Amino acid sequence: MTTGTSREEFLRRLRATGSGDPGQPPAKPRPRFADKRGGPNGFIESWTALGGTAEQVPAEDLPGAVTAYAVGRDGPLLATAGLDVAADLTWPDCGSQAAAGSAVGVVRAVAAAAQTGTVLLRADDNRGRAASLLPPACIFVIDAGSVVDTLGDFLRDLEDPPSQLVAVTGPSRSADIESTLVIGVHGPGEVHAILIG
Amino acid sequence: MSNPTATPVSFGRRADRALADERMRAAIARGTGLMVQRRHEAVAELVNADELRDAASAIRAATLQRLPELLEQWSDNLGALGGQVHWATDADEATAIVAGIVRRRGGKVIAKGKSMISEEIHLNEVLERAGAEVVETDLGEFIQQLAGEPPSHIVAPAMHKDRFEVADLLSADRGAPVSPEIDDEAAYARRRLRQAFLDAGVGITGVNFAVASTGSICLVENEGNGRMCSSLPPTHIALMGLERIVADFAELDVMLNLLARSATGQALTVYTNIVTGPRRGDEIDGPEELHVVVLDGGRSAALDTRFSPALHCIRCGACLNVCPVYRQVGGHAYDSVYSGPIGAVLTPLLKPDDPAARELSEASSLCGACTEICPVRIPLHDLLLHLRHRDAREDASRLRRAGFWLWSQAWSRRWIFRAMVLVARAGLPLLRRMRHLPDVGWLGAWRRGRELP
Repeated sequence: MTTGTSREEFLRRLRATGSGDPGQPPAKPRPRFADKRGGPNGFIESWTALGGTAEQVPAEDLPGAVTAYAVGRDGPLLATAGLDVAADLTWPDCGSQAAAGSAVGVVRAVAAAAQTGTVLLRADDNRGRAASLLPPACIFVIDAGSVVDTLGDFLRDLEDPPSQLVAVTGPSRSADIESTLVIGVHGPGEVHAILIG
Repeated sequence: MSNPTATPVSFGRRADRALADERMRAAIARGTGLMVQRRHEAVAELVNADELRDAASAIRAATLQRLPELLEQWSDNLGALGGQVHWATDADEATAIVAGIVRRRGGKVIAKGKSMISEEIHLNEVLERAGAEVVETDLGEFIQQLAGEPPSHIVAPAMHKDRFEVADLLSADRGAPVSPEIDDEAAYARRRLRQAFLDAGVGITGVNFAVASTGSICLVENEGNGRMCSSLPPTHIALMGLERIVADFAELDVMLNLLARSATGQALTVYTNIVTGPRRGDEIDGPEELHVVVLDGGRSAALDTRFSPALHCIRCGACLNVCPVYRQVGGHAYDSVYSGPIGAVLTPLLKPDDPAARELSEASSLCGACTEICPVRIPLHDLLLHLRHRDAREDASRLRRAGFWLWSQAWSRRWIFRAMVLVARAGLPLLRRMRHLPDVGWLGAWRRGRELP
């Protein structure tokens, strides 16, 4: 592709500006909170305050908990490969139209942050992107031992980020009309966290 | 008012028109009031908000001092992971790059997430001329697209509309009534836009931050449309200004803790998307191609000026929400993609040849509320004053300059100042009898909104 400016030319213009010397490296403090939350209980408190639901179960009860959440819903249960649950559809084999028609998605999270009620999803290791995005409801399976205090605690230690990492903080929402909160605009409006262990 | 730029109208005229629109003003008053209140509550949760704001300010300043190095590192890292970085000097280059990718990658439908840069370069017009169907998928931007209007707020594009106006637009789109209940309106948008995500050959988003140490781009949003646009279509194109870079994840952490709190009063937005290259070999979904277009668009020219702190902006919109001018006239009166105090500073920097852009520095009372709330501590009202100063110097006639020189000389001498006060005191009853100063020329403009003591 020949449109655009070459990187050299683009950066050359920038080199003509600024000192190139940032001086002292800037401080990068971590946030500190008046109401400090940590651990699985702290996560559950923050998550439910955002409108999510949560439960903590032993590992062997996971399939039952997923089934109990999905039962009676108007549509199939969608899971990514490698999750030990009784799903009706498997992503990506089912295709995106079918996935968009599912009622509940279930995905494995890699961590969660207690302070803000944030679930961390990586796209690699067969987790993908769509199963936690297309259905109107989503179950996040979280290892209770993986709960950190803040998103920053997770990010600052992250060395090789996957092609996509999404930090999910509550149900999809918008306040674009009259600054009034609506839940479930494009992503899942119902979000359920199952903490294992 | 689909094209407010058709005939050049002064800011004063546009403001007058806005002031007469009671419905819009009610919506803006409500929206900005709520956003300010939510922002204060969210910032109060931080024990060290001031420390974080100082740090964010220093981080942004340090970034601008070593932009070439950071951009090089970032693009090397992203390139090594298969991401393709394009460099655009101006809007024409940026739109040509995007149009070229769209042409090559096919697909009639383009799903677009919220991106101020895309507004800045008027991307939709270019793509639509080339025959593509561009669908804005952020709820506020979708409403604005249906209305044929630019966004009126950096964060909440349709803040100036009430739900009845929204219902009219959605009903026209549907060809059947959509009720003016906000939940119903959002549900209609969800259904309507869902197929666009699934059909789109290309997804286009903005970029909030690019992380040099890993080659990542970070995109924050609440609805999930940015996630859709960057996850489902086979090609993802992201647009960013060249200043939108941080060194590493520690800097990103500082910024993320301030951005959502300052913008919408959330601790974090619902989705913080960190994309580091396209889908990798063994992954089960995601875009095959990732393109990032880096735009200069007048930014490099602003770097070596005293106005460079304007490039520290992280686009939270807080300065709009507290600005007494914005709160009265809304965003469209600025006739610029960027409105409010930051818009009044940025617009003349990015469009130095546009005389209309210069006028925006007058759209401020210099009260300093913008400076006080800015999470990265941009001295906005100082910059506005500097802009006025610069423009006055460059524009003023010799006569006017001589007049102001005389005035400044006179008032610098105590006895002249005292004498003038005495004369003024004696003359006031006379002036009062005149009731009004003559409403002509610049005297008239000065007189409007002022009363004699």
